[in-house]
Amino acid sequence: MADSGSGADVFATSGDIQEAIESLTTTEAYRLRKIARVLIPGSEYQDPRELLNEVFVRAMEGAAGHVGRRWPKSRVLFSAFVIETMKSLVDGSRESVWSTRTASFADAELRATGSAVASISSPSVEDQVLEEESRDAARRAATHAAAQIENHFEHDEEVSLLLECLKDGLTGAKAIEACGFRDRTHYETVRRRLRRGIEKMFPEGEPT
Amino acid sequence: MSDKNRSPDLSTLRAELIADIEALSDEDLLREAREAGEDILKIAGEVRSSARESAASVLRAGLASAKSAAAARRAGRAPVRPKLEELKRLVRNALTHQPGAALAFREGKAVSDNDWQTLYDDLVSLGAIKSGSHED
Repeated sequence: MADSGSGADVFATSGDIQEAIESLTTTEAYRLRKIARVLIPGSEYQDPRELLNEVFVRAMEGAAGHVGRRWPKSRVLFSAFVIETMKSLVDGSRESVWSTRTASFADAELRATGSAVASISSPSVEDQVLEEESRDAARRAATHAAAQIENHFEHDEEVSLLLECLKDGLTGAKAIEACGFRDRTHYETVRRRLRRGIEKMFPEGEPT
Repeated sequence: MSDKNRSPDLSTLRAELIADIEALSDEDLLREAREAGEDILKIAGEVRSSARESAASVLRAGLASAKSAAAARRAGRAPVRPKLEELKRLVRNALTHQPGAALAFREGKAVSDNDWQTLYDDLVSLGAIKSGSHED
């Protein structure tokens, strides 16, 4: 029942997704949960399980031809699909502090198939007002989480420097060059300190 | 360099956090779990079990939706009627056995085909004619 999209893409069926869930190894499953944990600060999700479950629901809905996320199983590993979808959900769930440039392949798939938007009706004025209020709350939550992170690391010069790079959208080689990191190893060491610090700040994804 | 008043871009920050966790070897991952006092087997089991339940909930919802759509289709389906001559025969036969109902009918005088069909449907719904008792 696999469905072919454009090009050589083959999208997963519900059965493929269930099979992939059963095939997740212990480290893969743990890694997904660890990633969910660091993604939710500043998003509408309160718990890593909530975010992960949303991904699996969207994937199954996409496989059934409803509004959802379709897993292009012929070219993307299941874990990678789950991670990209999680990121797309958190970036979309609460408006990013200033960036809206992140368009994941999952969103691209939805746009390409067009199946997702067909059933969406125009929102009422009340819905639009609620949506706008929700966006404002989202912006405040994202800004608050970002400020918490900055304050937490204010005495760590290297992490603060990395955060400055991220403000400018600079990562990897560009950040190393522009922000004065010695080399890739130095950059990755600082990045790891940032990530572990955030994990401690938000033990279950929520601020302490 | 950036304006200090700006906040970190959460989207870019999140991408870097993902990259860092993806770069961890399985050994590093296990070490971090131990350091954090986390039971990796238990957490992984919870992830799989929760994922399984989420996937099943979508299948259940799809099944319920398909059932209700089928019921709605059945409810809105046009009645299956026999050909007109057979329909008239069945109606006459039913009226013969229910004289009271016959009084309410106009004794076949200037009765339109539509009247016959409506009466047929009424008699079917009353149980006086068994739907599907005709040949076609």
